[in-house]
Amino acid sequence: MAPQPHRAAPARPSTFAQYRALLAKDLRQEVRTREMLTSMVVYALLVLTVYGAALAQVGDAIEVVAFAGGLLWALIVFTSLLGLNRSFAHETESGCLEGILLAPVDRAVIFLAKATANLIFLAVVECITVPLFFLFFLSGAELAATTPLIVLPLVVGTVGVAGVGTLLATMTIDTRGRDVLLAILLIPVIFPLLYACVSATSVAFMGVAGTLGTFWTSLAMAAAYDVVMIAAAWGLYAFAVEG
Amino acid sequence: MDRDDSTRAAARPALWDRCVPFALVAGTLLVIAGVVWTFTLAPFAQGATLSEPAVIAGQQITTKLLLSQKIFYLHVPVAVASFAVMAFAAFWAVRFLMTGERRYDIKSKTAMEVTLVFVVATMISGDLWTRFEWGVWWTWEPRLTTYFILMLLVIGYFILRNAMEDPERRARFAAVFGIVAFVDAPISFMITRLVPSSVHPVVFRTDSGLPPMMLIPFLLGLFGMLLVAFALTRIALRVNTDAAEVEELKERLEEQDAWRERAAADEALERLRAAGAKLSGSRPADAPVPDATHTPEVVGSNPAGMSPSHDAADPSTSSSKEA
Amino acid sequence: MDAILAEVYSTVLPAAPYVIGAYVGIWIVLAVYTLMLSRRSKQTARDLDALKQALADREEKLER
Repeated sequence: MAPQPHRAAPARPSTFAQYRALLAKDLRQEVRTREMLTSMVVYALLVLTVYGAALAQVGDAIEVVAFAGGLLWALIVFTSLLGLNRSFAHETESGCLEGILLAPVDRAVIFLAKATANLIFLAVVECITVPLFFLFFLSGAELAATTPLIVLPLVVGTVGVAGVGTLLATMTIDTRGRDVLLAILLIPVIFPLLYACVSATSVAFMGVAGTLGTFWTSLAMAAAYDVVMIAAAWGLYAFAVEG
Repeated sequence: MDRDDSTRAAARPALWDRCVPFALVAGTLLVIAGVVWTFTLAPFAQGATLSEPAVIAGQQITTKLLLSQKIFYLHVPVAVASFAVMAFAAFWAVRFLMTGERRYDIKSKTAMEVTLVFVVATMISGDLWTRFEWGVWWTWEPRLTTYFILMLLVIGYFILRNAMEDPERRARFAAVFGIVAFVDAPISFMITRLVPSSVHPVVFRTDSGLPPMMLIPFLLGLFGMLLVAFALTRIALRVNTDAAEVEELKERLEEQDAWRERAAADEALERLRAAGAKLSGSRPADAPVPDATHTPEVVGSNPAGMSPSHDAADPSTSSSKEA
Repeated sequence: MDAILAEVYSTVLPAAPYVIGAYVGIWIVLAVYTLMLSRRSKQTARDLDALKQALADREEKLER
């Protein structure tokens, strides 16, 4: 056989290509099975049902709009916990994460890819459950003109939950009592973000004139949280995955 | 290299440790001085306005005078101390992640312990203050909320440690979470204060600009508590380091035991085989003799008891019984 | 007592148990922790002695 001309080793795929590949893998996995999304949506519906029972005796006396922001964010937190757990459970079951770690991929890229995947899953679930929330609890209520603004805290908050949650979930999947441990760690860490987002969402729902300043302040706080905590999670991620 | 580092590291803590008794005594004295000053020389803080002004010691007083504010003289120092110790916990966590040396993990964990102690002290004093001021046992006001979250974070740190079995991963993940918690705490502090509560505004007193008579006991309490915190941390560190050594020694002893039992078991197996080979003489061994070195699990029984009870004429079955 | 003075100091007595409670509480927490540390320290010292004894015994056995 004629000697093969020496071919240079294929160049390592660029960081962005790696990121895209990892992200695509996660998304494709989910699209194929739709297992996680389905369970998240069903879980959200169940939480809404519990809310229904909780608010059944309230009648029309209380304005649900006043605490709709809080209810909505509680729903998102619980659903996110489930989603994060499921997203990583699959990885450990199939040994996927270990496989990825063998390749010379920058740990930060893995973090970004996983966080983006989780963000997309959460976003999809929210797109389904937020309208449902409106249907179940805000049907009769007079919605303020500023209600569409809730999209902003929803986005900022979900980004934060996905970022921090990815770091914490990576650490807790292999432990005993993994689901509970994630909740124990995530909820206190996410608390400031939750606080700010609930404030912003509530203001948007209520739409009281003159409170829009509060909305923007809270949103800015939430965004600041995102920047700081995601930077920290990004930097620390390598230590959370090293074998 | 590890031994050099550890001996060098052992020299430096000795210096710090010598300060400990002094720090503890000095700290306690400072705190006591602060407390005494608080209740004797420091003026009362002002409360609600009176229906009509009164004259006390030649000065006109227009408000009620509060005793409850005096809680602040010890409550804030304890809170500051807890945060200072947590800063060390995070610092040592970073050092651990950078170097991988186990002693930093022990230091970080110890600092977290002391942080928890001081956070609990803060919560108790803060809650009692709230109960008196607002008449309720709990309210979601910034100070209490922040410290509650901080307490949950530190408790979460210990729950995480308990949930991990592999010591190396445990140390690493604990360090990561310690850093996350430390970054999260000031954010929590700021956000609960800066995000205006749209439903009911939270009124909290900012004691800015203390007059000297009030500033001094506060500073006494502050430095006293910081010294006490430092002393407690170093004492706890010594206890924890010793406990870690004890664990290590125990492990090594168990290893030694396991080694010796295995060596004895190997010996016994050799003797059996030799005896069996002698007895069977020219008869070729029809069963392959299993590898004796891959049965550490079997060892647990007294190795000396194995030889007499086995039928020496049938080495292959007796060794397969052991395998 | 003068009525006005009584009003000035009206919050002091009701506040006293809470103030005392807060100070005592802080000290109790610190004291409890110190006690825990000392107990752990004694335990460790005992363990260390036992282990050293065990090691010495083994060395003796080996020599014999």
